[in-house]
Amino acid sequence: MINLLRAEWKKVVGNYQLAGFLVWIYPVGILGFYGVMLVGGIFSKGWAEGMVATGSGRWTDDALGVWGLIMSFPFNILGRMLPLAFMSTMFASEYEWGMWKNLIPRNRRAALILAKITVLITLIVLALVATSLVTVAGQWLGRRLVGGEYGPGVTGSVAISFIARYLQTAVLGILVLIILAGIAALAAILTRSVLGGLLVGFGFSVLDSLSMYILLLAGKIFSVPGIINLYRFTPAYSVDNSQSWFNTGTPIPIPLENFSAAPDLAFSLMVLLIWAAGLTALVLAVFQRQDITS
Amino acid sequence: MPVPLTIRTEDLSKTFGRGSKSVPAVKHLNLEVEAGQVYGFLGPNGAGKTTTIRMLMDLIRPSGGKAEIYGRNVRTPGVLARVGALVEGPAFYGYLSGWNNLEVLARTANGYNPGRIQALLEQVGLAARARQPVGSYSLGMKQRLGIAAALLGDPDLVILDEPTNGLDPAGIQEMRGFIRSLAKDRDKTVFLSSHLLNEVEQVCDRVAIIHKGEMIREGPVAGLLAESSSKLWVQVSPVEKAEGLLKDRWKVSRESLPPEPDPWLVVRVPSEDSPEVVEFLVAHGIQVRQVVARRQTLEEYFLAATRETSVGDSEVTHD
Repeated sequence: MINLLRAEWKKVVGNYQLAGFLVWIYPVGILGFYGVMLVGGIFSKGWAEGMVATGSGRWTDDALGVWGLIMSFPFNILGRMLPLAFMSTMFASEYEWGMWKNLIPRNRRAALILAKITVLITLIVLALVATSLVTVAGQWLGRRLVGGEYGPGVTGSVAISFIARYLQTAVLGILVLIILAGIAALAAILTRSVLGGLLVGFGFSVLDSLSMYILLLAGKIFSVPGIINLYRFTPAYSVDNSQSWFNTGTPIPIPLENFSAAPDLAFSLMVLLIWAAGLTALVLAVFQRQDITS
Repeated sequence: MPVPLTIRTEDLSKTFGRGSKSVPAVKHLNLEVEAGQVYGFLGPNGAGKTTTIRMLMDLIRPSGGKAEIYGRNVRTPGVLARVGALVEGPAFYGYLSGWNNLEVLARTANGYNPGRIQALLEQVGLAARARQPVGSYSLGMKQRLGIAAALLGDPDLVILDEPTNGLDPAGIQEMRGFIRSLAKDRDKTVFLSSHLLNEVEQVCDRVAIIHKGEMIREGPVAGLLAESSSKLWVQVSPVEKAEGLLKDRWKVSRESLPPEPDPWLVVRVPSEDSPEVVEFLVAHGIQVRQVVARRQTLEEYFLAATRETSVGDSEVTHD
């Protein structure tokens, strides 16, 4: 399996343009932003103040906030697009390059898919972690220019608490990425094209992000107000609710008539796990039976 | 214990689509390829050659029958580790170098060996361009890289689908020698699909001809050609009498070769029976002026065989 993962890594990272535009653009883009603002801040305090205003004033929250790109509404509508496009393209390009005919006889189909999902998610997670680091470093330097606290102070308990929160958030983020990878892979395998994969992936992402509004509308149109409770089974709600439980120990408040929140954190985590495992299993089943004719 | 056949298919069939839109691509194909052979797989476009190869490589699920390699179903994990294939033209990641493409394939098969990659790149004449992106390679270079990829795992069975496509004449000659040497010097079995009939004739020990998804002929190349009627061109006098006599025993046609004034009689006859034709004519008082025996090429044999099955159903002939 290590060899298979290294093969996938070589393919994915070797596609500099795709990985650059769709994955490394997060840390590199943020680095560019802070670089420009810091240079400007040296000459004009206004630039530096504008830059620190984009942060929360706490390095712990700034570091965690990066994951909101793929998890928190409304940022996730656009934030998920790049990872989705990246994963969808990497799956579909195996058809476009005609490479499945070379790969399938060399290893089991399930192993090929799982290795690809693993490597794609690893790369995106590394990019998000790098983005967290660049964000914190940029904000810290900005604070040095304009003055003021950039807390909390790094003590043993703060560090332990931060690492625990960061890992919790990362695990949630990885679950979201597995669901996105499942959708991207399924769409790419069924359509065998980059465009088909992108369109289906984006469609799912938008539907999921806007699922609360869609269900509300459907409840009104069909006069079934209770339909809003299906929202508890969406990835969007489950991620938001899990984050709320991690951060405050309470469910996310959704002030909607007829809506009953998920009973606990375990419920939302289970929903996410079922989405991730179900989509992965579906991808494996479809790919296992697919005739490779190109 | 008998040695299992390298390739064996039993009633192997594939139909694409369902219901009224279904298209049968391969019908009840029975193949038996023994170890150490160079086995030719011939058929016109759309005959089902590539579909058969894809079923052998577990890329396509058969609709019926089974395909075995070394006595085990091709769907059994690990069976294809003994097989190297170039299926329907070379395919690589254009953004990766030749070396990196081979590394990816070797690692995917869990068999990365830099020394082997280097040796294969040298063998196919790509060592100097190994670090350049495959996207910059010519078709011939990609074809060579495809051969290297097929040989990466030092397979016992090599399946080559049109391996000389895109090669220049010198490259084609070199490739044919290389294919023969795989069987002769390295004890490999080669399953060669080609539309170049002279290539199959020069390189293969045995050949199967498929047409519209069905096998129509199978046997040793030499045997098929010997069994097939060769053409004996005779110039005789008197022509009418000779033609009448010959027609009772063989298929005869009259051909003119201008500017020669006299016509030729073309007798379809197994090559070993040629002396008998001449003796027969002389015994009946016919003056035989010229005799030219012309062996049927595999191309003519192939065209005749596929034409026959287009006209009506024919039974498979095994030698």
